Amino acid sequence: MPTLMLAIAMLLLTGSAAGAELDEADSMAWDLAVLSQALAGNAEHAVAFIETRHSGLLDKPIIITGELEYQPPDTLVRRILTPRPETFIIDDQHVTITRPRQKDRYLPLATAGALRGLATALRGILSGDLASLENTFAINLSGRADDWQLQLYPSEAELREEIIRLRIQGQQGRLSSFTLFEPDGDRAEVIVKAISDDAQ
Amino acid sequence: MVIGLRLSSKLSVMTPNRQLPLGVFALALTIAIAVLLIRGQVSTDMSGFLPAGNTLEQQFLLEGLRQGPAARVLLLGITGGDQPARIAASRALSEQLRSSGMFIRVENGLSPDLIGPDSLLLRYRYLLDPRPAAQLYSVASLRQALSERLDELVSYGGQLAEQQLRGDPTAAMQTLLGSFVRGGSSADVDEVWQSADQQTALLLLETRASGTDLDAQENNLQLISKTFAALNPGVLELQMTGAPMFAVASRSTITSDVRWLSIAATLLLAALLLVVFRSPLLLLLMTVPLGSGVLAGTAAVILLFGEIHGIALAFGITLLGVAIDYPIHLYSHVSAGQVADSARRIWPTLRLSVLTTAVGYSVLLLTEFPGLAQLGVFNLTGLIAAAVVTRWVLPAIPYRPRKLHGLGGFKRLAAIRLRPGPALLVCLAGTLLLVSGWWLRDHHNSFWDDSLAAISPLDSSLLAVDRSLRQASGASEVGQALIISAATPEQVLQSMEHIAPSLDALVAEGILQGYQLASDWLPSQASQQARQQALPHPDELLRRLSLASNDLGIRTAALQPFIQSIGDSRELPPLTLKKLQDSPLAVRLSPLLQPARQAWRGVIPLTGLADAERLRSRLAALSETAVSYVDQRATTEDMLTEFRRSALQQLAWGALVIILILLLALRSGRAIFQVALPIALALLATLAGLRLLDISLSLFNLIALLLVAGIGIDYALFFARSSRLKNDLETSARTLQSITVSALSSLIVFGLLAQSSIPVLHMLGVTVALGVACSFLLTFIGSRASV
Repeated sequence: MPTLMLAIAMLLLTGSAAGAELDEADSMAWDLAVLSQALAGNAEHAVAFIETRHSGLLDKPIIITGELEYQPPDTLVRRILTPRPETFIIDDQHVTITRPRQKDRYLPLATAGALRGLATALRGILSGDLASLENTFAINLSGRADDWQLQLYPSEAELREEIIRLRIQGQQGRLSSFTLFEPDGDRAEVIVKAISDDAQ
Repeated sequence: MVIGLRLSSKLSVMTPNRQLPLGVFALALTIAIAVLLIRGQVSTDMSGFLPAGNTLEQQFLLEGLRQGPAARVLLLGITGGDQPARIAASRALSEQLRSSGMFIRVENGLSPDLIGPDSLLLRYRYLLDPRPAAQLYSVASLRQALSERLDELVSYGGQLAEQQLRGDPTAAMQTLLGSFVRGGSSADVDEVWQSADQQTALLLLETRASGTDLDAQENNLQLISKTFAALNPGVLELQMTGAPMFAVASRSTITSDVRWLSIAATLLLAALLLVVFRSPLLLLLMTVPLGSGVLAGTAAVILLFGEIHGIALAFGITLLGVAIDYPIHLYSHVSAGQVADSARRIWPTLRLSVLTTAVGYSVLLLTEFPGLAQLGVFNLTGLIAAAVVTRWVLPAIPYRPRKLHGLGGFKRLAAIRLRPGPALLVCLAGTLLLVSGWWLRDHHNSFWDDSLAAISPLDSSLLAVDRSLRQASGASEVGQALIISAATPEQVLQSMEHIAPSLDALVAEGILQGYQLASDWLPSQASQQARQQALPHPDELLRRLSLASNDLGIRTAALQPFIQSIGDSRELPPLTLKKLQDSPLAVRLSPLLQPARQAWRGVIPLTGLADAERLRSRLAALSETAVSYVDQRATTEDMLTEFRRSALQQLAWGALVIILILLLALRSGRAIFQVALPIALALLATLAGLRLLDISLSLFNLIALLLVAGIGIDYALFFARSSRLKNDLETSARTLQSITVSALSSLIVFGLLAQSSIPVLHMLGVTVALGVACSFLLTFIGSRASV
């Protein structure tokens, strides 16, 4: 059975043509393990992002651009370029915030609210270790290999006060966008691109 | 007990003149025990040994030493490693200690108690916010605040940043917490309380057990150490300080020392007395006078003072040690097996010895130090009781001691006669030699040591940890402080607010590094009301907010929680000390604002004061406030100096009285010379010997010298007696023998005491052992120089 799954995974990774032939009937084969394999096979740990944050507090959305980088085993770096440069280095327990011409700040992740949920999710996805997400979220996978969608629902009540749902979309082993839904109706939509695409 | 049983079985065969003293003794014993059982209370309050405290500064200091709320507070510091590790350890440790249930409070920063939705701080934030309210709510300031919150929303996103923008855009909470977590410095707000240099993570604990429950406190300390060790701290280190720590540490040093010392002393003393008197029963009888003296002394002190101080009891028993000599004299002088005869014969000498010593000690009654006065009463009563028991009770016990052997050597010694001139010369020369050694020696230590450390049983490393942790926390470090005294907490807080600008100016000029002010955490009601009045009406605030958020893209309607809070704050009754009694704020405030004798006292701890004079003159300019500057160390030392001077003065009077009594009793200037001069020389020689060892003298050396004087009087009088009996060589030799046994027993006990690791006991041991040796030698020579 694992051999079969591996074969399917290889198929998924090698060509979208073959993937396109898989239909809903084959959803048995398209599961988290396969997606994990696919994500893990992606050596690209850094991506660029554009975040559009819709808040009931604001007349118009905030737009933030920057880069996300996964540094194995458990560090996530969120580098904001606009509107104001600053860097968040998020590890297992803490977040360090660096701003130009200011002293670093060092906070426990537990108090950083939404950041904790987001960081856990992104770490799991960028490292291809989706199993680790099951401690924090109830996971629902849908779609096809070339257009999949993950829905993450926080299982802890504490985290649900910050995030009610995370929707993550991608193709094969690549993440393309995610959206964070907050309890008060606010949401943040993040579009992810390869840095190399940006550079070109 | 044994004696009591024996007494009742022998009662039938006793003659009436035997029954009477024993009956009286039994009655007195019963009364003394009853007093102890009914009213016996030992206080351990160190301040009983300090004067009543005449100045404000002294009162403040004494309160600090007494059992207050501070007696339950522990300060912990985590050092070493890197900052993330320290912070993580602080969190884990406080989490586990909180769940242990042994602590009323575990403060390591921002606990839910402090900042949660129900916290006083949150509710009162707009009345406590120290920034000037008039500017804070202007359109320009509001705009600035809103755009800062917007930036945070960009950075962090999430509910926290949104809540902040909605409910507290002026960041009143953050401002308050900044001063709370960091003790006033303006660094970034972290969640964990750290020293200003961020090298130490700090925790403040209040134990559930009372400060006097030392078993519980010891368990608490072990729990903390074990919990910390279980966290796998690696290179991290935990430091602890606080009153419970000190109490437990001194108890464990004292108990372990006292245990082995008393076991060793008892064994050696028993061995010596057994060798000399060869009777276990006699050994038991010899403890009766000392035991009776301790009982009588304790009962007398309790009747007079209502309680006895632990230190007075300990020193009292030490000083009463001279009473072990009385039965030695008694039983050494038994010749034909008649104890009663011996008692009658030695009584004139013993009586004089006891009287002079007791009177000498009784000058202590005249001091203003309650502890010393207790010591005086204890010894006056105890010595007399021991003597009376030796004279009348011991002879009434039907016991025949064996005849003593080994008198030959003492007979030869008894026959020695010296010519007064050369003898005096030898004594003077010996003493002078010691004194000149004292003068010539290169002293590292000063003559008097009046520091608290000199009388504390604590290890100096504990005190060093205490100093560094207190410095790190910026909290009531024993050092310099300003004291404000007023009738109500409100007045104290107003005074603090009044002098705050002057202190800020001193900080700006670099004369002062920092200070802590209770009014920063709890502003006076007056200033809370002033801030309240400066809060805009909700309608007006809405108008200003819409102007301020004009082009920021913030919807004014979303700011409703903020407008609501400001509206609520306008109606709040001001926060008072009483209201925050059960909040975490109370622990922090208690050292800074405390009740004191029907009044209130504010304490402003100062750090890094460079120029006390400048501070004084600056404060003097603010004439309306009663503020005084206290250097706690200097004040303590002043008090101890005063104490020591007073004790010295009393001792001088005591010496005079002793000489007068001797003069009356001996009725001969020559005899006085023979008795008093050797004692004086012995004391001088002891003093010189101590200085030769480069020992600084403290109060306790004085008390030890007092004992030396008592012992010296005893030796001198009995030596003189032996010397007078030149026709009865046998009795003369017995007297010599009894003094020698006494001196040996004192040397054993105090020589052992000198081995103690507790500075006070060590000092006492060295002084008395040295004093006994000098007294023995000099009074012997003096007595032989008579004819």
